[in-house]
Amino acid sequence: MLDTGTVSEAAAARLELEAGPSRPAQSYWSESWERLRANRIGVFCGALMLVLAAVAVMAPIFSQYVTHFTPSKQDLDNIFLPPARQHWLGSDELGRDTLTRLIWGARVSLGVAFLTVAIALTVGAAVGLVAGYYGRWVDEALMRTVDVVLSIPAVFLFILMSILFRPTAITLSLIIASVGWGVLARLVRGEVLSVRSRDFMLATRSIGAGDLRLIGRHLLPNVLPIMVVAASLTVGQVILIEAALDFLGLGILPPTPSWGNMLTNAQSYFVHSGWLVIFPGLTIFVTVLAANLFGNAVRDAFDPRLR
Amino acid sequence: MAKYAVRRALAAIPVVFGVTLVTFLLIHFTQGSFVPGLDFNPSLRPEDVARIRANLGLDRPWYVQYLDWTGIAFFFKNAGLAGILGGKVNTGLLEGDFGRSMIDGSPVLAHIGERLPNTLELTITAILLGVVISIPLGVTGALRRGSKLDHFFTALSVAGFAVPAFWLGLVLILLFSVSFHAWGLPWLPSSGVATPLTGGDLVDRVVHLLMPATVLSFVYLSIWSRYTRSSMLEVLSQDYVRTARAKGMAERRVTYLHALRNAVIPLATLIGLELPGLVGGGLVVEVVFGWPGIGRLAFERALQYDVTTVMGITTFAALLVIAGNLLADVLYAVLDPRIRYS
Amino acid sequence: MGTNPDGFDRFDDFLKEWSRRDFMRRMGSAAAFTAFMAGGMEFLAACANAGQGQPTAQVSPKEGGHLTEGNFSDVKQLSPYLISDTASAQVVGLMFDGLLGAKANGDLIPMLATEVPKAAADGLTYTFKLRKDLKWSDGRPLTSDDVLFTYQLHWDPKYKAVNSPRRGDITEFVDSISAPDPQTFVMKTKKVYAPTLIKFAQQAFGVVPKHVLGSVAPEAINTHDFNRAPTVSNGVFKFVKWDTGQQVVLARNDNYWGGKSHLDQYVIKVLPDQTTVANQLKTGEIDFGPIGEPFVDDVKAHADVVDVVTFDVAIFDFYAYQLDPSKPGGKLFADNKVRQALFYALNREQMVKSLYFNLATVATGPVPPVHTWAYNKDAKPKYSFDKKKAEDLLDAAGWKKGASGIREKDGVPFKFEVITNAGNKVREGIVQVFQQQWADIGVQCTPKPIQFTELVRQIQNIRTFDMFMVGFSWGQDPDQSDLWHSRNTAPGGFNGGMYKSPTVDKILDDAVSTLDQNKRKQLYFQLQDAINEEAPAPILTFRKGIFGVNKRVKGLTGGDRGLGTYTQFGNRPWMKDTFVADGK
Repeated sequence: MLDTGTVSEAAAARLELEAGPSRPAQSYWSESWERLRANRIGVFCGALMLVLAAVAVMAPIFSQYVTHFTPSKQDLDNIFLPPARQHWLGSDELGRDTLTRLIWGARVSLGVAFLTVAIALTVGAAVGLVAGYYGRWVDEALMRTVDVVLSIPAVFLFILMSILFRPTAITLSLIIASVGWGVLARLVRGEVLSVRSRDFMLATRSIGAGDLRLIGRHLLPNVLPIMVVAASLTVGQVILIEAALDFLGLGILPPTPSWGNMLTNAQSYFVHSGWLVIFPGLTIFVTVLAANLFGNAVRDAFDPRLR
Repeated sequence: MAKYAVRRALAAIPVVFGVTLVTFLLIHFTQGSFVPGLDFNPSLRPEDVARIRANLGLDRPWYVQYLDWTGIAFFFKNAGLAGILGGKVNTGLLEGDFGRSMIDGSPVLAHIGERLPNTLELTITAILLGVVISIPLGVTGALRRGSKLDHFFTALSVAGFAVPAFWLGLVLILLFSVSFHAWGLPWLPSSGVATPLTGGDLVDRVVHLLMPATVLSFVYLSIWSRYTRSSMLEVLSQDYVRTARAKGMAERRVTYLHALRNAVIPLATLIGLELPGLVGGGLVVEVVFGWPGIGRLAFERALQYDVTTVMGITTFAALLVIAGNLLADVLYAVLDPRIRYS
Repeated sequence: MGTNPDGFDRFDDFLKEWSRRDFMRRMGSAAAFTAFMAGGMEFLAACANAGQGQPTAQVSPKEGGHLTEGNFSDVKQLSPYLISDTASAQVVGLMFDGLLGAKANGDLIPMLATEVPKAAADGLTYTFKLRKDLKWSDGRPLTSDDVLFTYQLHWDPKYKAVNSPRRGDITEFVDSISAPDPQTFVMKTKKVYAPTLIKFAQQAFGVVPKHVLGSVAPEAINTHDFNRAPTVSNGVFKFVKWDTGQQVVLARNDNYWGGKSHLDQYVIKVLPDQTTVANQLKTGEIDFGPIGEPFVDDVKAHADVVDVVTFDVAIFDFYAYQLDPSKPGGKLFADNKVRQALFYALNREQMVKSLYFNLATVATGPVPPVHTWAYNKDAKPKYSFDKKKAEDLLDAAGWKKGASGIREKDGVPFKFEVITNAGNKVREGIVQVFQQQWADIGVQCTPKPIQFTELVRQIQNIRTFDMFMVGFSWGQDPDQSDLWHSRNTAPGGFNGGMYKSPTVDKILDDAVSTLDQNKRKQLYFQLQDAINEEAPAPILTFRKGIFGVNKRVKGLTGGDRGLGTYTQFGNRPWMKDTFVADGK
C-alpha cells in the first residue's frame, strides 16, 4: 500500500474514526459479552467447565470430606466392586475408588489442556504477530519454521518427544503445545496481515508510533478476538489428544490417575467390570462436549469475521 | 503461474531438511546404547551390543550419521566429505535411497510401500464416509432449520466431535465382534485388513474396514455436517437463489441444482485441509484395530529405535504433506489471481 | 505324561530306531502304516487324555486344514541367527530345527541329531550324529556342512559382521567346531560347562542352508532377503509369505524328517494386545494363543469354543535393591536385615489373588519349581507375610518412625523410588502395592514407571535407580549367573543392583563346571539358602503359562511333548502331530 508521508493530525483522527476502533472499544467487548450471555447453551457449558475446574482444584477436599478415599488407597480385598454405597462409581483392579480417581484425573486432564492452550497461544501469537508485522524475511523464516513443525505428522512428533521427555503434566503440555503453536501462529499472522493493511495502522505509524507500541497497543487487541475463539475451540481437542496419548502409554503414567490411563488399564477388564471403561469415557465425553459447545458459543459471540 | 509454483517448491526444500534434522535429533538423543529391535536378553553381552551397533553404524557421531543418511555426504563425496565418513559413503535421501530397516534389513521404501496403502485405504474410506453422511445431514438440517430433526442432527455432530476415538473403538469391538458372536449374530472381525488364507475378496475387506473407518469418520462427520449446514444456509439466502425462486423454479431444483452445488464447494477446502492428516491421523484407530498401517509401523519402530525406518516414514509423510500443501496453494493461485501477485 | 505311558514309549522307540520311511520300506507299506498308526494313535490318545483326564478315545488324525495362532508381540525377523525375541522365535521354530529340542519339562530330545550326545571322557567334546537322509524343503540334502555353516555365523570371526546376538556367549565357552564327515558335527568347549547343550544346541541355533547363504558376503547377510523370506527351511513348515503387521503364513514341509504334518497351512497372526488375543480366541478367529491373567475367567466362560491350558513356567517377577554404596539407594539397603524386613512386609498371597487372578505361585527362593532337581521348597529363610517381624527388624536396625510416620535413621528418611516398565499392567500394579504395603510400615516408596528401553538402560548401564522391579525367565538349566554373579555387575550385565558375593560366585562357578547332577544339586541348594538370606533381589512370584486352544485343535496339548513349560515358544517337537478335527 502507498505510504502517504505525513498526514495532518485532524486527518489522522478522522481516518481512525472512519476505519473503526484501533483500540478495542468498550462497545466491542461488551457487545460480544452480551451475545455470549444470551446464548443459553453456551452459558450452561461455560458454567459446567467452571464447576469441573473447581472440583479439580478442590480435589483434596473432595477426597477428605466427600468420598473419603485418596486416589492411591488400595484395598486388595475389595477389587472390582460394582457401583454401590461404599464406592459410588465402583472400585478398580487394586480396590481404589473410581470416583476419587476421576476427580484427581480431572486435575491432570484439565490442567494439561489449559496449560497447553496457554503455552501454544502465547508462543503462536508472539510468532504470528512478529511475522505478520515485520514481514519479508522475518516472515519467511518464521513461517518456514512453522511449516517444518506442521509437516511432521503430529503423532510422530508426540511419539518421539514422549520417549525423549518422560511426561509429567508440565512436560506433556509442552509437548502438545509444541505441535499446536504452529496452527495458532498461522491464524494470528493471517489476522495481522489483514489488520495491518487497514488505514488506521498507516495513520498511527505515520505519526511516529514505534514498533512495539504498534504491536502491543494496536495490533494485539485486534487480534485478541480470534485468539480467544481459537483458544476455546482448542481446549476440547487437547483433552482428547492427552487422553489418547495416555492410552498409548506416551502420556501420564500410573499411579498418577488421568482419564486416559484409567482407560488403558480398564480395557482388559471390560467384560466383567464394564463400568471401569464407561465412566472415564463418559467423563471425557461430557467434558469435551461442554468445552466444544462453550467454544462454539464464544465463536458465535466474539468472532469478528462473523459480523 | 509457473514462477509461483517453482518459488513455492524451492521454499519447500529447506522445510524437508528441517523435518529430517528435527526427527533425527529427536531419535538420536533418546536411544542411548539400545540395539534396535533386541529384547531384554541375558545372553546378549555388552560386546555383542557394541558390535551390532557398530555394524549398523550407530556408533558414529550424530552429524556423520545425519550426513550419511541424507545422502549429502554421497553427493559431495568428491568434495572430500568422504573423509568424515571414514571413506565409506552410502547413498542417502538425496539420491532417493531411504536406507534399510535396522531390525530386519528390508528396504524402508518397501516397508512404506507395503503399509501405506493400508493407511490410505482406511483414511480415504473414512473421508468418503464422512462426506457421504455429512452432506445429507447438513442439507437436511439447513432445509428444516430449527426443527427437532435439525436439533437432533446438531446434537449428534457436536457429540461426535467429543467422543474419544479409542474408547469408541473398544466399545464397538466389544459389541459387534465379541458380543454379536456370542449371541449368534453375524459379527465383525476385530483386527486386520482381511482374513488370512481364506479372505482377501472385496466383501471380506469391506467387513474388516467397517468398524475402523466408522470410528475414524466420526470426527470428520461432526465438523463437515455443521459446515455444510451453515454453508447451505448462507447460500439459500443469496440473491441468485431468491431470483431462481422468483422465476418460478421448482423448490427441489432450486435446492439441488443451485444451492447444493455451491454450498458443497467450500467443503472441498475442508477436505483438502485433512490431506496432511491422511498419513498419521489414523494412528490410534490403527492401534486399537490392529490395522497394519504406516502410523502403527512408525509407532512400533519408534519404540524400538529403528532409526532408519522412523526417519524414512516421517520424511515420506512430511513430503506428502508438503506436496499436498503445494498442490493446494497452486490450485488456489489458479482460482484466485490475487494470490499470485502478492 | 499321558494316561497311557506304554503307548507313548513305544512310539518314542519307533522314532529312535527308524525314520518313518525306513520303517515303511522294511515292513511293507500296509503293515507298516497300520503299525505306525497304532503307535501314533496311542500317542495321540495319550496327548488328548493328558489335557482333559478322560478315558481313552481313539482319535484318528484328520488330514488337511490350517491352524491360526495369535500373538500380541510383533514378529521381527524370520532367520534363526538374528532373532532374539520370543514372537520371532515362535515362527522360526516352526521352520528351522536345531540339533536338539526339548520335552515340555525341559529334558533334551534329539531333533536333527539322532540322539542327545553325552560329553566325551574329557568332559569337553560333544559329538552329534545327524539323522540319515535329512532334506531341506527344496529337496537338497542337509548335512553337517550346513550345521557347521550355521555355527560359523555365530562363532567364526569371519562372520563378525552378522548381527548375531549370541556371538559373545558362544565364543566365550566354545573352543572349536568341526564337521569331520557329512553325518557328524563336533563341538568342543573350553572348559567343562554344564549348560552347553541347552544353550548351544537347541532351537536358537536352528540350522540354515549353506547352499543359500554360504556364498553371501558376511556384511550382506544382515540385509539378505532370507531374513524376511526364508525360502528354504528344514522344519515342520516352510515359508509362504509375511504380511508385516498382520500375519506370517506357513505351509507344510513335505520333506520334514519327522514326517509330514497333518496341517496344510499354519498362520501366525500378529495382534495389537492381549485384549484382542482373548477376543479372537472367543470368536474363533484364532485357534490358539496366550491368555493374559485378567482374561482367563472370561475365556473360560466360552468353554464351548475354547479350552484353557495352564502350566508352570520358569518366568518370574522380582525386584532388586540398589547395593552400590556410592548411590543413595545403596545407603538405605546396605543392611541385609533391612532388605529382609521389606520383603516380610509384602503380602504376596494377596498379590497373587488380586494382581495375578490366582494364576501365579508365591516364590520360595530364586530357583523355580520347574527346575525340579535343583528346586528346594524349604529354602531358608522362608518369607511369609509378617508385618510385625518387618517392623521389628527395621526398629532393630535403627530405623525408627519419625513424627510424619516415615522411618528415619541419623536424620535420613526412608524414602526411595522404584522403577519398572510402563505399559505392563501387572508390574505397574505390583509397584503400587509396594507403595501401599511399605507405607503401612513407615517406608515411603514412590513408583515410577518408565519406558522399557530406558529401564533396560538403567539396569544394564546407568544404574542410578534405588530399586527396580521387572520380570525375567530361565532356560532349562538352573544356572543363575546372569543375575547373581559379580562379573555381571560390569556395564551391560543384568546384575544391576551390583550384588557381589565371593561365596555365591564360587557356588555358581562350581555348579557349571561339573556335569555331575548330584553335585550340582547340592550347590544349587546352597545357592537358594544364600540368596534367601542375603535377599539382594527377592523373587516375588513364579508365573504360569496360560493358553487358549480352540476345541477343534487336537494333538497340541498333553503328553510330555505337548504344550508345556519348555514347549510353548520356539521349541515345539509335537507340532507335526497337531491336526484340526474339522479338517478346515
